[in-house]
Amino acid sequence: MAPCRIPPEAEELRREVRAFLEAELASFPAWKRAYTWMGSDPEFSRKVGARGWIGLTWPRKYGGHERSNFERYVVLEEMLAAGAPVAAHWIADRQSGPLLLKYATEEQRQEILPRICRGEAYFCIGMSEPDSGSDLASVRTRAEPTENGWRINGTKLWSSGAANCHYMIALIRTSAAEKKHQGLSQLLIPLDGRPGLSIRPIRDLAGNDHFCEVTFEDVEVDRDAVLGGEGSGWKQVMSELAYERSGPERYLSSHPLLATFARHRGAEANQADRQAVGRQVAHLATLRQMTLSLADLLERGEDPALEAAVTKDLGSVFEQDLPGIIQSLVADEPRTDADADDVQQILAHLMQNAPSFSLRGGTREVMRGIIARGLGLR
Amino acid sequence: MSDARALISETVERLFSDALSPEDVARAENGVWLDDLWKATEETGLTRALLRPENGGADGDWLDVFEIARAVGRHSVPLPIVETIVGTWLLERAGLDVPDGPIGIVPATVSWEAGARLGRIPWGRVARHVVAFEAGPECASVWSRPRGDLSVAEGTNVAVEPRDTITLPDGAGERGEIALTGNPIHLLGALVRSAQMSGALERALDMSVQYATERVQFGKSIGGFQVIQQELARLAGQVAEASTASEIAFRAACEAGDSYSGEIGAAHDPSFEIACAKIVTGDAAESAPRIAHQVHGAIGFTYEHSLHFTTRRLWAWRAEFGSGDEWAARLGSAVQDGHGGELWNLVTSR
Repeated sequence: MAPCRIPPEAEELRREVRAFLEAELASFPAWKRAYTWMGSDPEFSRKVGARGWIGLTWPRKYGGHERSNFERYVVLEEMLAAGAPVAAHWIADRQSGPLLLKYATEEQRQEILPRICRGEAYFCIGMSEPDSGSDLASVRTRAEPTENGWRINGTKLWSSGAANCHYMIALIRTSAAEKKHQGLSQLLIPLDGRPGLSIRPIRDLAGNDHFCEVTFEDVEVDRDAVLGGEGSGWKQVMSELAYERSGPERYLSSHPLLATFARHRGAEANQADRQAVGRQVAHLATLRQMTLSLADLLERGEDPALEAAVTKDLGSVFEQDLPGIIQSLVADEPRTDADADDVQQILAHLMQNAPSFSLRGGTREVMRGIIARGLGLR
Repeated sequence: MSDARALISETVERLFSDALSPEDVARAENGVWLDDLWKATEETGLTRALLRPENGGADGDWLDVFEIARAVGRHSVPLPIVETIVGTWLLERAGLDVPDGPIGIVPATVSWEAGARLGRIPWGRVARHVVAFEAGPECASVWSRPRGDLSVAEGTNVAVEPRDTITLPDGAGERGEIALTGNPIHLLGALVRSAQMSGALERALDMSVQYATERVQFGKSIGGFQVIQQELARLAGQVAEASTASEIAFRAACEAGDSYSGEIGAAHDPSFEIACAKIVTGDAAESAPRIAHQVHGAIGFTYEHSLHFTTRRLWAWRAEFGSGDEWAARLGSAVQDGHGGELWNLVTSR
């Protein structure tokens, strides 16, 4: 992974994004920042869209802005570092939009992409199922051809934000095949309350309702719901995952805690505080350079699946370790009461959410399996 | 990678893989000076990689040195190559003569006077010259003196590389002024050690993957077991992170201004990146040898197997020119005392 540099025009954009965030988030409470890219606020997403910061690299004719992956990277990392509530548009901008650009019909692109860019159309991912987690190719949700399209039956699980999304792109079995990686297709499903479709939010251990179970009982969709080739779903999903795994959100989820802790301690910090902050900053700066070179690889049209797995594994361990490291330096207990200080509140939220960091987007074990394959061990 | 850098990388790789065997490394531990390899290294111009052509140099940059130092680490080369590169660079910067032969750099800042104790000099016993840094109220100095008949108290690090101590009988020596106020030997020593560690980590990974592929237990190669695959994947991640951190630090050294203070976070000063590199490579030097030895089992714990040439160097090098904790405290202080502004601002300004 060769180091690269953010070009000056992208640094120019950084100043604009910072000024925007400072104004927009002036009264945004610290504990809400702890949600980083799991915090959802459609109004905020629409404002980001109005600034032209969603679909930044996409063609203008679809509402995009034809700017570089580095400019996009700067927008993302500034949003994450500030703990901005980006969840509503995050997945559409990160992976669904690029997928539609590649595989959707012209009509679908014209209809959907500009709405994504305006921060108005939100997407969720339909990959996992009750019996298919890390073994993704074992999915059983199926679509049968009908006269006018497809009829879907099955259940998708852990789809973040589905209850507030307009579309799901789901990995679905469209034909019986001998091998489990075959016969899969990606379907674009409007989450518009059509018959047979039900969405049930699932409360997580911290009391949040962001992920959902989505069930399909004879749900009818159009023929052109199949994105790309019928039967090429597995290949498409694998390249989609490179987008999902390569971004700065894979190491910045705990950033508001580190930044807030450092600010609170200031010059009063003792030796242990200083060593901890210094050590975390060293890894933070290095992980940032690694994700930056992934943006560079994507910019050059390469598919950095292996590099993304390496970086995501390191990044998720880093962000998962942080709450415990900071907790060991503060005397106060983590709590969400109104009178608790910012560090306590963020700690309380993050330590409960941290277990998900090495599960979502592919478990740590799956990442390490990909790396082991890269080493020639499997 | 530039063409020049690729050429250097190829040259050093060939030199060290052809002319250095594990037996040679063991002989060096027994006090044998590998003169032929040293001469070949000098003749190839590696020790003068950074110097201007008028000083017989290759006019290279620090990213060239990254390749050299990484190869020195990868092959456990028991010679003061990186120390001599740092030494010649300092002498040239201070306007002093740049002699041939190995240079012993003194890690700590000194007072160059009779009775001064110059401790833990890498390869002090074979150095032709000793080079040290002295801070000053107005300007800083680089001192150089032929080792000649100065008496040497011999010591070693855990990899049995010489780390010797010389006590100055008098204040004689050549002095040149230098526009670097923080101790550049400490700083650049940390820089080259980060690259050596990154090379040694690569070697630990290569050896472990190779061994896991060859070693058969329970009827299959142990690399076929998921638990081994997971550990080796973790090791590969640490190698990747260490290598990135070190390369970024060398790039920062390339882009540094003519004079810098060693203040972490200052513009045109590579100290931030060097601190990151020494911390990250040092952290990897703790966990990577554990994984490598665990995968190798008992055979890797023998002197006969060459894994220990790599792992003992990792344990030695992480503590030299400032431990990870020392650099972390300095980096953390730059954040806490506000020299670098807000934490995120500091990270994104680099």
